[in-house]
Amino acid sequence: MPEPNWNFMLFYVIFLSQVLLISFYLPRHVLSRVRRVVDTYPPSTHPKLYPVPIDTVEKALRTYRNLNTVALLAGCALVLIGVSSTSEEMLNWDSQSVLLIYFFLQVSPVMFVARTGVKYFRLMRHAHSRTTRTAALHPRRLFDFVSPTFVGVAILTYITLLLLILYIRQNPFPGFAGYVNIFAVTALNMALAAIGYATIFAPRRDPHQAYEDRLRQIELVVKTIVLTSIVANTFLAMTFVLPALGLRDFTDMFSMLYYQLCAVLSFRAFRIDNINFEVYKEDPSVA
Amino acid sequence: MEIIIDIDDSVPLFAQLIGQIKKAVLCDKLRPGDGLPSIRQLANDLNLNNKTVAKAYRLLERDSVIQTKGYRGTFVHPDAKANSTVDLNAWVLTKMGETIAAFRESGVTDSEIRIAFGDVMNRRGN
Repeated sequence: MPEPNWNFMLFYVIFLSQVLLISFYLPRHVLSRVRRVVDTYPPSTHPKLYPVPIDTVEKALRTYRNLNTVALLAGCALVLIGVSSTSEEMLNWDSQSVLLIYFFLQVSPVMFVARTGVKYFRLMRHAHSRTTRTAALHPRRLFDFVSPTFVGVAILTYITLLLLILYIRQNPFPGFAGYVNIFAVTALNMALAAIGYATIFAPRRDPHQAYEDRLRQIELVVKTIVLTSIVANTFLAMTFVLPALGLRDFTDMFSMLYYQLCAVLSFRAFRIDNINFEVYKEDPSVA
Repeated sequence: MEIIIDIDDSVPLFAQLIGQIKKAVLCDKLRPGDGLPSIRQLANDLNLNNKTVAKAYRLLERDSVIQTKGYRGTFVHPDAKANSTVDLNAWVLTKMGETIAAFRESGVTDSEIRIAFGDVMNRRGN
C-alpha cells in the first residue's frame, strides 16, 4: 500500500478551506447583512440610501452571488481534478500561478461590489442638491485612529523585510529577484499608506454619512490597512525564508493561508451594524 | 463643533468660514489651544477649493485668532476670544469714513479723493 502524501493532502485541505471561506462563507454573510439592511431600511422610509431603483440593487446582489458561485464551482472543480491527478502541481502546470489566478477569480465579486459602490455614491452625490455643506472643526490625524505602537510594528516588519532581502541577496536561492523585491515591497507599503491617507483626508463619498459613522469607518479601514501591511510584510518574508530553508513546498500553503487572512481582514472592514441610518430618511422639508 | 457654509449665500465663502470660526471661539465651542483641521481636510470636507480655506486661515492668523505651529498643525490662539471681537473691516470702514468726511469738510471733491486714494495705494504697491 503506497504511503499517503501528507503534504499533498494538507495542500488540498487548505485550498478547499480557501474556496469555502472566500467564495461561500464570507459572501453569504455579506449578502445576509445587505439583505437585512434592505429589509429594515426599505426605499419607502430611507429613500436617500437608494440612488438607484431597488430592482437595480437586487440585480447587483444577484450578480455578486453568481460571481461567487462561479468561483465556488471552479474551486471545487480544481479540488476534484487535483485529488484525482497524480501530479503534485495543480492542473499539471504550476500551483503558485493557478492559486494566484484563482484568487483573482475569487476577489472578482469584491471588485464588482467596489465598482458598483463607487457608481452608487456618485449618484448619491448628484442627488444631494442642498446648498449648505457641513464639516467638523476637528483635525483628523493618523494616531487618532490607530496606536503609534501598531504603526511602529508595521514599520518594523517592513524594515525587517528589507534587511532580509538584502541578506538573502548575498546568497540567493534560484528564482530570487534581488533588488526588484525591495521595489515591490516598497510600492506595496506606499500604496497602503496612500489608501490610508486618502481614507483619512479625502472628500467623503457618501454625502449623507453621519460624522461619527465616518470616524468609525476611518478607524476600521486604517487599522485594517496597518494590519494588512504587517501581514503582507510577514507573508513576503516567509516566501523568502521558506525557499531559502529548502521548504519551497510550503510556500503555496502559506500563500493560501495568506489569501484567507486577507479576505477575513477585508470582511472585517465591512460593517453595517453600527451605522446611523436615520440620515438616509427623507427630509421633512421635502416631504 | 460643526461648521456650516451656504454656497448660495451672498457672503463670500472665506468670510463665512472666518465668521463661523470666530463665532465658535466667542461661544467657547473652540478654546485656546484646540486643534483645527488642516486646510486640505477642511477644503475636502466642505468641497471647497484649498485656496478659499487657506485665505480664511491666513486672515484668521493675521487677526491672531488662530496660529500655525509648523507641521504640528493649526491651533486656536491663546488670545483668540479677545481678538475675535475685533473686526478689522469695520475698523477700516470707520477710519476711512472719518477721514473722507474731514476731506469733504475741507472742500476736497470726491474725484480728488478717489485720485489721491489710488495714488497712495499705488505708491504703497511700488
